[in-house]
Amino acid sequence: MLKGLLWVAGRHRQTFIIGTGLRVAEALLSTVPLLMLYLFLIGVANGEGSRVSVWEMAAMILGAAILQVTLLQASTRLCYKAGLSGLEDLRHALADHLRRVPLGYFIDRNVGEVSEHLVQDLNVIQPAVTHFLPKSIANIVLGATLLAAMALIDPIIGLLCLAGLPVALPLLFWSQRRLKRLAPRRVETQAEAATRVLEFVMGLPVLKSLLLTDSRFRLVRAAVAANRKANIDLVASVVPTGIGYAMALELGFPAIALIGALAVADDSLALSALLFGLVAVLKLYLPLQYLMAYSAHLRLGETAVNRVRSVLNTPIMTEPTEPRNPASFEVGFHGVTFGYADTPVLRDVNCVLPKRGLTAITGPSGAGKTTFAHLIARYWDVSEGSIRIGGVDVRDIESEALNNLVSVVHQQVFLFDDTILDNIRLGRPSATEDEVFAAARAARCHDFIKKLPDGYGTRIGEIGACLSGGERQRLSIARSILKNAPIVILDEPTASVDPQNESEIQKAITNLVADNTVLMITHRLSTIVHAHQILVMDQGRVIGCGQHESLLTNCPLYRSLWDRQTLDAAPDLAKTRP
Amino acid sequence: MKASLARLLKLAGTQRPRILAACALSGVAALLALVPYLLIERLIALLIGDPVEYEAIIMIGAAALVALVLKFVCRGLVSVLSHVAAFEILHDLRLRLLEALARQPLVKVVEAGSGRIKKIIMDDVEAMEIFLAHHLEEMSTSLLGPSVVIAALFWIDWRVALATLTAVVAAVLVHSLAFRDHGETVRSYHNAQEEMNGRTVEYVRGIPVIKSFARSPRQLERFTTAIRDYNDFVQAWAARWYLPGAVFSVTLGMPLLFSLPVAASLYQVGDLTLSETVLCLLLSAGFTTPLYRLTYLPDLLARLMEGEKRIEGLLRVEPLPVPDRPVEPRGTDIAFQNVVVDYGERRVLDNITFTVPTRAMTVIVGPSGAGKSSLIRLVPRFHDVTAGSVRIGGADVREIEQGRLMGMTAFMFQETFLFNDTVIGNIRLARPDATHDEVMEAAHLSGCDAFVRRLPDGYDTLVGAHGRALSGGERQRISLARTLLKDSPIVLLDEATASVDAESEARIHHALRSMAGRRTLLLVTHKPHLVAAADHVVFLWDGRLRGYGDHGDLMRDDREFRTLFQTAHEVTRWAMEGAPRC
Repeated sequence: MLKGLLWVAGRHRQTFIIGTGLRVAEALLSTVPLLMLYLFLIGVANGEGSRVSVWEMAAMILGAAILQVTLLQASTRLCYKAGLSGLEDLRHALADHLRRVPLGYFIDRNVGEVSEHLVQDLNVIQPAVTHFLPKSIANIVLGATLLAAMALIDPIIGLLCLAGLPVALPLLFWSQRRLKRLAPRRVETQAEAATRVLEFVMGLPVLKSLLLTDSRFRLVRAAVAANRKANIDLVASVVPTGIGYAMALELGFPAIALIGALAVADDSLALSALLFGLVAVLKLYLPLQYLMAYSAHLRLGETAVNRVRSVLNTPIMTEPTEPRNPASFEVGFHGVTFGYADTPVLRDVNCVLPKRGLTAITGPSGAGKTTFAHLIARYWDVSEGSIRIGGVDVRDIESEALNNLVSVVHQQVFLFDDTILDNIRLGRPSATEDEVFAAARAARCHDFIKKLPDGYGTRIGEIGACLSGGERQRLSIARSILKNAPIVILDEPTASVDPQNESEIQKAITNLVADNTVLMITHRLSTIVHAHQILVMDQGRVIGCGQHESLLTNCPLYRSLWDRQTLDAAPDLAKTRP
Repeated sequence: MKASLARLLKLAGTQRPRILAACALSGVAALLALVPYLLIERLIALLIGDPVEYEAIIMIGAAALVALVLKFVCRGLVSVLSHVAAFEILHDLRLRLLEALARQPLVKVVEAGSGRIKKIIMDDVEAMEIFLAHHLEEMSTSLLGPSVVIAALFWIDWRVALATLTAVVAAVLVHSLAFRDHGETVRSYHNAQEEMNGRTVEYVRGIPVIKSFARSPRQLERFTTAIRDYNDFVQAWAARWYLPGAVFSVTLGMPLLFSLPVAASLYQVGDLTLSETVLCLLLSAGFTTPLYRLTYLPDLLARLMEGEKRIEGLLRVEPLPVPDRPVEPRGTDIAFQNVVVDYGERRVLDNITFTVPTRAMTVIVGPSGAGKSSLIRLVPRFHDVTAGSVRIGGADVREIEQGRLMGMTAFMFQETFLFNDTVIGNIRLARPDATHDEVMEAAHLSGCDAFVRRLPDGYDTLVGAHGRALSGGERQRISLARTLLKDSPIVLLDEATASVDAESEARIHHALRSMAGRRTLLLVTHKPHLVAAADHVVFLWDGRLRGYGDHGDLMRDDREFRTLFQTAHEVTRWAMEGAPRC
């Protein structure tokens, strides 16, 4: 169980092992006062006076103490250093690895969850490695040494120490089994309560409106109460066996007191040996208690390590062995089929996006439009068929080269907590300031950026909430303009922004798409009437392909979409009163 | 620290007897833990005496066993009592929080964010468990055990007692010297950790952007630097404690350093008997162990108090005032009279007066930030006015009984919400006694048909937690169906079709238009067709009422309105250029 935690130390493993060794030595030295006590007792118990003088004892204890301090601080230093440096390496490795996994990984799992788990896990691992692991090992060795010392002084005493074991072990086993049986119930009810609470809080406006607050509150109350019951049941079930186990472990003391004292009375055991045994057995319980307390931290740490390792084991994007570079930029879908897990999303898609032309995709939600676009940027690899840019399979293009070819403007814009300038410059790190300004002007950002407190030097973190969705979208378009990739994908960039912003975004897009191969996903058909090609998608298939006029006659779905939209576009018609 | 303890205990409420009993019992257990030392002393006295009394030895063995069993019975009881108390407290606290939330102005809940509130109710409350169930009784054990030992030592011989205390005083001295600005530095450590966490989250979230843009990502470099800085900080931070930490921990474990020489000397000069000496030394040796536990307590309490502050903050929000003598509205028109709304220092709405006539469609328009949402939210009392009044059928909304107000209004604001139920279940919630045909009609009018047909189980498809399985537009349409099914005389919609596709939008607009003759309809919208189709238009500008009339009036009289509206029109007419070339 400690292997995973040791793995974290990585190349600092040796430092860590030395540090732990020092910690063990320190733990052993902590028995010196006890040893002095023993030496004192042997002498006086035999009636011949202490074997060591008072001052010798004090000097020994003091010497041991000074040595202990030295060892302990050296050990902490080494273990922290190794653990923290190992974690640093691990963070670097994660940063590098995550950059290489297919983007689909984050979309499948929700980026927020990935990052939150990672942060939590790393926080749990740190103390488990630097603190609890060395301490646990030291306590194990200390316990074993004490036991061995007792057995050495007198085998019977050593054996009596373990008198409770035959009772303790079955109890431990039993309590673990109960724990395993009831713990999931606790976790489930906890999750259920959390879901219910979230649902209640999120739904509060609706609940109030529908006068359902009381009836839904009953559900939350039931869930919270079920969680309480599961918790109390768990305690009621585990406490007796757990306490029984701890008690059985300490049965050694009464056993030694009784049997040892009778042996001393029979002269078959030295009084000093008995006294040592009694004192040592009390000292032995301490590391055992510590171990029980630490085991939870170690187990949590181990689980966290396993999760982090599974992230590191996510397959990364395969790079071509013989990379090729496309010479032209039309995009071809050849018999493309794709699905997440078991749900097919695209089925046998064949089409070509002409170079330097505008292709639009439309169709009902859930038709597979966004997935279609993401496959070009290789967020995932296709299940069947191939996607080719200028005749070259995207899997044969180096991922960096492919990134340079394709620019995606998403519905949701992510900005880094960095200056506005740096956020735009992400599009092309080598761009001069003037080039950034030009891109910002073309994306219609320049004016609102100028109004910010520090202009282009304003940090997003300080004003993030103040930027509207439309302004964020324009910043991301500026990024793409700066990047100047030959293939541009626009995924409903104007969804959910107000008309003024939408108008600005439209002007920005006009500047972005000039002379490029453009793919635009949209619901609003009036936007794309002039497109070179419109793909109509439904349920993962391309069911219509052509220009506006021909689709109106040939594609019933397109016809009905268009009719409904133009119907609404005529205000007079809309104003007919019933 | 005392104040924090008092506040945490206040949360204990009705469970205080259980907690006190647990503390008392853990004290008893601490006393019973000393019994072995006394028994060793008796044993020595017996064994060096002549003749050996076997019966006495057996009695001692039996006593050791009884003390052991009693100690663990106490510990078991403590464990059960404190855990049960803790879980009861958690349960009560959560319900108290939820009840308080239900009474607060909805705008407070929306502003705080449901994710954050859930975290307080689940995680911050859960964090109390470990304190209530474990640390509280540990504290009483840790304080009581050593106190009894010291008292016993003084009773046997004051010189040994003083020598033992010396170790503790020395350790405490080292501790307070080395850790004098501990609170400060622990805070800086937590800040550094939080900063690192933030960096990690930002990096991972930004990966899609990083991947599609940067060749040698500066973001990676930034994150790498952050990792290195954090590591340097933590290493340096930890380095401060290596030595003082070691000195403290060794000194605290070292009472024998002082007590052994003293006790041995006293034995040699005959002031102490052998058995007394041994008892002194044993007590002194085991004296300090419990004190270790007290050292991490301040840090732990400080972190717990952060959570307690958030819990208190949630409990302290003023509930929405409830009318003493409710007034019954006469009619379904809505009158805004000199309405003023302030959020903190900021004036959001300033002196707004107009009337929403009954059985007509009124729309509120204006640029982002004009105060449209704040205005419409006053009607169902998401929040109350700072000055002025909102009246339905002549009755101030603050004087209408809450249930009555909710019954007569149906509203759907920007945040849509679905329960983890079927599509039809979610719609039917609005009126559980509605017939199947009525539900279907509402679903049809709000444009649900089109996508529901494609779902695996049609209207019986489960929508997942918070409707996760559906798109934003689909959730909006289901919410709208629910709002329409409710059949209230007043319908309030805020951007109800913002993320709906054009095809459904057209259908919804028709449905709304045809509904206007039967109900009072108040909408916030950007959609030009809807504005043109409205009976009355309210034009808000920077928190003030800039214009009121019908679409034609405003187009003629107001240049800003014209600009706004034309932009909206152009937007829908915009077409990407792609001059045919094939």
